[in-house]
Amino acid sequence: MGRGHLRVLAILAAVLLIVTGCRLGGVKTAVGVEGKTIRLGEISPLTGSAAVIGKPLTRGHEVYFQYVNEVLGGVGKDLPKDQRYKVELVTLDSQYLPDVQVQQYNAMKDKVLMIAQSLGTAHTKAILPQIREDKILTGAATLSSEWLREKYVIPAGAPYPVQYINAAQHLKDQGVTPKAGIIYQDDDYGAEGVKGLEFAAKQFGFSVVAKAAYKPTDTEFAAQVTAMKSAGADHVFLTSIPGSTGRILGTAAALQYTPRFIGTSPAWAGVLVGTAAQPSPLLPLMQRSLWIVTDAQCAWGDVGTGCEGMKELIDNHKKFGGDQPPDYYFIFGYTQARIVHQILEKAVADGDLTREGVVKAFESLKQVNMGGLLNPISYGAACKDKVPATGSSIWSVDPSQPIALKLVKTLDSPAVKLFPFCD
Amino acid sequence: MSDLPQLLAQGLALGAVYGLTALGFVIVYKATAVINFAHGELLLLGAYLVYALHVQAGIPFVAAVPVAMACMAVGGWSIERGVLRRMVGRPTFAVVMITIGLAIVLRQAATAIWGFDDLLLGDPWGASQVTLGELRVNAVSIASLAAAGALFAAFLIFFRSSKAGIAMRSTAIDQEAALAVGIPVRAVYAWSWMLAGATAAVAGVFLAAFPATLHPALGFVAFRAFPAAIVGGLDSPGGAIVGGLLVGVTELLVQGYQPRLAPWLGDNFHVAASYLLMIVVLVVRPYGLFGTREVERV
Amino acid sequence: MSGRPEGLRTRYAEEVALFGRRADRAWVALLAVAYIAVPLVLDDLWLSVLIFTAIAAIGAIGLNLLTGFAGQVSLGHGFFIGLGAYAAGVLGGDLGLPVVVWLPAAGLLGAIVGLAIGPFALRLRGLYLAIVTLGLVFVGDHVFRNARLLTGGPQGRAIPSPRIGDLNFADLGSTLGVPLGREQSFFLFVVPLLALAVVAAKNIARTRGGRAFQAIRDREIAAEIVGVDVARYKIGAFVVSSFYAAAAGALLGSYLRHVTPDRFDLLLSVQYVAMVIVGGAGSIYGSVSGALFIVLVPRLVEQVSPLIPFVTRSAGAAGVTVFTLNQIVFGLLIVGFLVAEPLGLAGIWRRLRLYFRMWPFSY
Repeated sequence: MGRGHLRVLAILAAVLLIVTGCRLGGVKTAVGVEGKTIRLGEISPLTGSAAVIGKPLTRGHEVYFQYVNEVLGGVGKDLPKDQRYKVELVTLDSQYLPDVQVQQYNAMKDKVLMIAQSLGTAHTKAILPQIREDKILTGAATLSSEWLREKYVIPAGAPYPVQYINAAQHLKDQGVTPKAGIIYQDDDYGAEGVKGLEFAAKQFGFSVVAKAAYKPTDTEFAAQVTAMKSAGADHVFLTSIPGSTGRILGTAAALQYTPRFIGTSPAWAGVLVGTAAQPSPLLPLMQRSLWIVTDAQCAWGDVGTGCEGMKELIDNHKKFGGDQPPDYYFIFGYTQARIVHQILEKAVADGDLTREGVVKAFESLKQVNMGGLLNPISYGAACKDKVPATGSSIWSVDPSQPIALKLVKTLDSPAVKLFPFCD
Repeated sequence: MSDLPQLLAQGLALGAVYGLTALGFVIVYKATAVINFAHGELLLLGAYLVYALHVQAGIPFVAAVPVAMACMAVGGWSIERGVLRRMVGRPTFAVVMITIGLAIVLRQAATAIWGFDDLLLGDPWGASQVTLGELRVNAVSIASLAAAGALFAAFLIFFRSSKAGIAMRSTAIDQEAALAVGIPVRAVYAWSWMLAGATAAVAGVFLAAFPATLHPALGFVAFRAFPAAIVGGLDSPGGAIVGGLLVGVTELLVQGYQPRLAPWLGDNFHVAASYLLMIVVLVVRPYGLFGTREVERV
Repeated sequence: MSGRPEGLRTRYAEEVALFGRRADRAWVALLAVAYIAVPLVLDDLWLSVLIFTAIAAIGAIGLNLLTGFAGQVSLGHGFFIGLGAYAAGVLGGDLGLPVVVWLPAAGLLGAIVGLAIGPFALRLRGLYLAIVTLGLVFVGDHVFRNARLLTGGPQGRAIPSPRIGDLNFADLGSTLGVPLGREQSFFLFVVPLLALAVVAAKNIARTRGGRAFQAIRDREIAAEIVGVDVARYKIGAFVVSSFYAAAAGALLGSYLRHVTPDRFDLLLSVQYVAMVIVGGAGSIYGSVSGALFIVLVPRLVEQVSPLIPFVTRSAGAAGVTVFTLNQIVFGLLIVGFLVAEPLGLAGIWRRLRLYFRMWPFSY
């Protein structure tokens, strides 16, 4: 071999050494806990088209744990303040690609106690085999109801079918029998909506007369709206995202079609009403015909009794997160972080801050007060015990409110418990 | 069905937007033989600029649009000057990759400045509608058709009669001969990118106008306009407009009728439909409807 | 070194030999050692990076044969990758076939579909062909979303691990009772497949097929005059590249365990074109290095960017976060690379090798 080759080999060896994270050697203590610091993982799309969800959601986590560290002094409410555990977040960008999700999981799995956020259904499924094997408790920021069946996954919030079932209950209470149509996004989010609506239709005795899917990149909704109109639907359920919601309503207005529109929580964003100086031309239509259903019991800024959680959120948002405008996903992330905090508190109280201890704490969490952000939540080991919340709130559009929503009704339909989450 | 006139009207309006997009595309291809995959992002930036000028800075809409067009023209010029000029003589797919890399950078820049949220453009047409006989059409649709027509007429005059236009056409036909005759070919490249930028701004405005919203994924609509450019012929500006209208109408008609007449084709067939239309046209006329046949010299 | 100058060949067999020079044999030995050593030394993050690289490299080799060697620009590679993944799901998952059957079968399916696309290449030139292949991605996306029985629709479907009976290649630890993790097992499984793909492609490239491809790319009319059957080789290029892509897709699906139609969009095709160009069109090893670049560099940028001042690590902050910066840097790297070195990493490597070989007369 010539000297040239030796030189190249030397360079190669050097590169290999730099890149090597040696498996051999190194002492492991309780993974993810170093002294008085707990590390939590966040795998979220922080760039790319899904960043509109990932960024506010992760900000919700950041703000909440900043509150825990700085105001509460850390995790462990029965410990003296200087003995409490500070929370550190390890945040990695998944770019909304399952490939990258797998790589980021591998990057963080030896550093964190648990994963507070894994966003995306397909993405979480890609790391599911490893989660099961490594026994790392993971908070799924996706509303697929499949997670109820997974031991190591924390289902986040109430699955979407709950929202439609409660909305249908509300209609029944008002004596309305709707001819229902649904316009839904062509992915698992939309599929959940369809499941929920069809179940509600069977329960409450109405029919779904039209179903139309659309792709998130669609700009024209003539087909979908026409389908609803010609089937005679007077209540159109929307499983959509804000950009599409606006376009659907606009198309309906152009076609002179004004049913009652009922949207899930992600279908709405405050910007849809425009600004005070330039209100959206659709504002009158929205105020008349649009309802949004969410899990949160309290409106942004509603700080009365039963809404202590919302008050805490507003205060912390002002203190730590002022750059983040009021946003549904921020609330969702904040609420999720709060749940993770309760799990950690229980683990500390039980004296077991290891991976197994955290899972045990999760399974034994009962009737945790969420201060109005959600109904009190309970988890358990069995699937049916893991439906965290069954209540929803119905809102109408009011531009004078921070996210332009005004509370109409909060309810908790008994039909929700009959939904086959665990089949 | 009484839906037909309505669907046709919306199809033509969408087609106008596609035509405008394809036009910018074709101008660059005709002059430089480069497919600009960053065109969608030029549209996006044009729309965001109008938003910044009109909604954030308060400039009236009629002034904001020309200013945005001018800015995008400068933007196009700087892309050509800064990046593409170094790529003269390189294989085409390398240049295509550069435009793709540019697209990534431009999209990230847009989200860094304006965030990811849906924004309202604040266009003057809003939800107002015009009644034509028994048809109610959105005013913005009429405006987009008018703009497409006006721009096309302007380009026609420009290419036929003005010195710069004739210079561009000559360069497109034979670069070496143009150089030999004294035409500043480098300048022609720059002009074509400037025109593409300006056209993109207009297309972006109509894409983001009511009832749509302005958001970062808008650039992907440019891919729906590709079939328009191809169907018309990659080097024919008139073909771009015709192709755009054809694709727009096809999409809307398929949207309206396919779920009822041929549901086995699946949901949302209209996107695939425009590409299938393109493939059918290409099988019959491999250079598009109005494209010039490439003559390969031995 | 022996008395003879390097590169002097006295027999045709030497010309055609894959590992003729002593240096090549040394490299092969080194790689064999690395194959055993790497899973024992690297941690799971870098192993998963290498696994994704190996899978992507197989696909990139296919695209390089089509675009780099034969000059047919294709933006439809993402579609064939998806096709392979879903084929693996149906054959391996629904029909329960072992990996020795579903992996080649997935490739074969890709090849058959590529055969259907081939005739378009005969009729269309250059960028028109590129856009038609782009159409493949959109039509394919539509099919993936609507053929629910086979693909699971928009929610996607599960793809099984590579197994033969009870032997699970993705989990050799439990099936063989050896202390090997999931990443290590899959790495040991996928790298020999990559080696096989490289050797096969090298053979195509060095022999009649490869020469015909290059002739078509360089001057089609001259190739035809000289006697190259342009139609056969153009279609052949599509068939071979689709086989590789579908095989890569099957492996990708198997590694990810679950795929949705979103994964197989234009962005995926663009990533593969980037691999070919950055690695070097017309170079098989270039495809591998290009794949490594595209998969590895974002992770390296992520390691380095926290050191850059003035950039916030907060996820939700407006403006340029470290995450946005990663994307911008990556986009700029690609652009910069293409502007500075159009022959890609292979070009750089060739120049480097030439420099060392000619030393001390390297000027």
